Amino acid sequence: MSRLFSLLLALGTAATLAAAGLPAPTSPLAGTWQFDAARSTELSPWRDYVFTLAIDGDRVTITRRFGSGRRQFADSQTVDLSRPDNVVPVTLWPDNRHLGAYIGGDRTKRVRGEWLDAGRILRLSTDLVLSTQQGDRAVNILSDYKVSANGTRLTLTELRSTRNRPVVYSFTRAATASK
Amino acid sequence: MNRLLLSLLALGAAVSGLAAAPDTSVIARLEPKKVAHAPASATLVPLSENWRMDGDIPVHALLISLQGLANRDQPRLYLEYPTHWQWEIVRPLETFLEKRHGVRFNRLGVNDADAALALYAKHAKGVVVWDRSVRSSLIVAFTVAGVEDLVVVTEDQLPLAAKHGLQPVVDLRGKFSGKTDAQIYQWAYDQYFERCSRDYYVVMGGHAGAEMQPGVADFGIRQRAFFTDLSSNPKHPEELALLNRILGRQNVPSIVLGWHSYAKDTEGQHTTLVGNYGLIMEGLHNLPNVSFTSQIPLTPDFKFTNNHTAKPGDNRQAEQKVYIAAVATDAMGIGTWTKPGRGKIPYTWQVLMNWAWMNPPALQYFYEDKSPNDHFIGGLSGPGYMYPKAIPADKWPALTAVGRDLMKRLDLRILEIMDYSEGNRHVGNTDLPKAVVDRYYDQYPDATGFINGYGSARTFDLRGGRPLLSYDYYLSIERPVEEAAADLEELIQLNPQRPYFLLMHVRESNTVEKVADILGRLSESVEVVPLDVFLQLAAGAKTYRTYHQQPTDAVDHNP
Repeated sequence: MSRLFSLLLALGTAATLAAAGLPAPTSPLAGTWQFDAARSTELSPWRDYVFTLAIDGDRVTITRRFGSGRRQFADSQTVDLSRPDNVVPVTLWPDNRHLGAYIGGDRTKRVRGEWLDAGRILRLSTDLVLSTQQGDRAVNILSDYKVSANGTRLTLTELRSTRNRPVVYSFTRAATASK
Repeated sequence: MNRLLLSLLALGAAVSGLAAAPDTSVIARLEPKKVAHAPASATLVPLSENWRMDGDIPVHALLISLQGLANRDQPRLYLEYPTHWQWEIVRPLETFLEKRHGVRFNRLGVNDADAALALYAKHAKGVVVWDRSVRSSLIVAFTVAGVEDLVVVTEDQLPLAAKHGLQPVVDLRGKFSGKTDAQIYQWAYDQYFERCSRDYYVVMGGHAGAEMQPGVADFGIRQRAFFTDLSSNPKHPEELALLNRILGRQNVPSIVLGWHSYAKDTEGQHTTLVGNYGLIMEGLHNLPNVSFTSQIPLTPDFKFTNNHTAKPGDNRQAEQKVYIAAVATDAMGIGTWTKPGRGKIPYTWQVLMNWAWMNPPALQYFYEDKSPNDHFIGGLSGPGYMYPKAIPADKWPALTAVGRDLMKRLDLRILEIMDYSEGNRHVGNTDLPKAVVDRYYDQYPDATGFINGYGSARTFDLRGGRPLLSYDYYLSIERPVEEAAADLEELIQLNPQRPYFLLMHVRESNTVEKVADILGRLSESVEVVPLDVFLQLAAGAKTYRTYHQQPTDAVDHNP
């Protein structure tokens, strides 16, 4: 096999992986991200929002921590991107605590996801049921985690089926401790 | 009709009568004696903006203590708090007292303690000297001032006091050095508690550390209350133990004035503990001039009259649309009553009901200043700020008797409930179990409806045409109008049945103008209605599910 052929094969494989949405070996999305209030949709009642995105093969784990003074809430979800459906237990729906809407149904969410653009974007589609004064209501949330070209900024865009206006949160990569 | 039926009817009437009977005995015990009418003249001292311990607190403490003593038997001394004071109606109320009650204020210079002492030192028996190096010594000094009739001074102010014939009677300098607050207040308890009021206790908290805003201290001194800023936080077991002892010694019900210390515990912890003892909290540490206003009766021509749009028996039917009602809690005095927009849309204001007897001119001011779109409701959870889940069942009847009486006096038909004993806007739950809801329906038989929450909550009920609806939305002060409008539109999507009853709680710092702006941006068609109409419509079209707190609901005890 000539070197040119090997190179073409490698490029072709990478292109195929990217086009198919298969996971890149590593993604610049991995890491811990700190909320940037100045560039984001207003977050109240929370003031702080930090999340960590970890990748292990097809499995992506997102651990979120919301805070407002003494009040803290954390949750975690692991999504296997190779599966069409991941069932994740939900204890509280923290996304908008101003609303009279609470986790309902069987208190789970069903999540599926895919990589886009060679691992630069993670797209999750979440189905859950919110309970309101009138009963249960099915809701879908499309979440795009998109990293900037230089890898220092992450934009999370959430489109909720019940909300006319997108929620756009901006994050900066949290500094890692130097040795 | 057989005898058994007659007996049952008689019993039912007796129980109903018992529940509805006004009980003025508690208020009569608590209420400061009123003068026949407001004084023709009074002294007014403007206060500076500086409330730092190393700033103007010494002169402010002197004047506030002098005010408590000078106003013991008559309203004589009024303090004009600075422009940015949290209680926003200092000046409007001043004007109201002048115009409506005929008070002529003789104005002294800013912080002019010398002139004030020249007029009123005669009401004091001497001074108590607090230790500027121990902040809590000032709080102890407030207790001593009330019990011993002393003006509160620092050592720097001793010459000034002496000039007006006031000599040291109690000297706290050096007494508390190196001691904890639990030890300091234990000393005060041992020395003074027996001589203090069993009807008033003051939590001199709120601002902590370098600042203090003891606006309510004049009233506490007048009433000879015991003062502390003891913590209700289990992290401070010694302070909590003493606080439990103090609260357990107070009459039931009686008044807890002031606010928890921002540095020690939480609002949820403090309010829960006060509720455990069945006491009534009037929760504003910087509420000013109550020693003055508490003695002034309503003008003879005045009667509390609310704006009722819904009348009993109205045949009002809900249409297939979205109804919104906006309610501001805590907003009379520390909210946006004087800010732009009031009167623009139907709007509901929660009344601090105890002001009917504790601060009559303030309530008269609000009632006379209301626009046709301003509607009043009672709260919060009863007479004063209280969490119903924290109050033992056997302590309810005495409290609800006061609540019913005050609602009647103030022409209020709707009661607002809030309970953060097991959660808040962020975590835990803010809902009511069925047993508590039962008590409200039973013990407030004249209420036409109830609302619940502060943040959103999910307790809903309807009994005998009287709905209990929770807030479906909390308008945060931080929320931009675009996002708030999107929030409301999302709720409208989440609740597809019509009519949909969207009850909106407005954090007190939001102006009516902002609320009107948000509502004006909605792409959905809605009707904003007065709260009494909202509840009347909701009584006739139950599109909401009955829901009470469940045993499985998350609990968070406000650490």
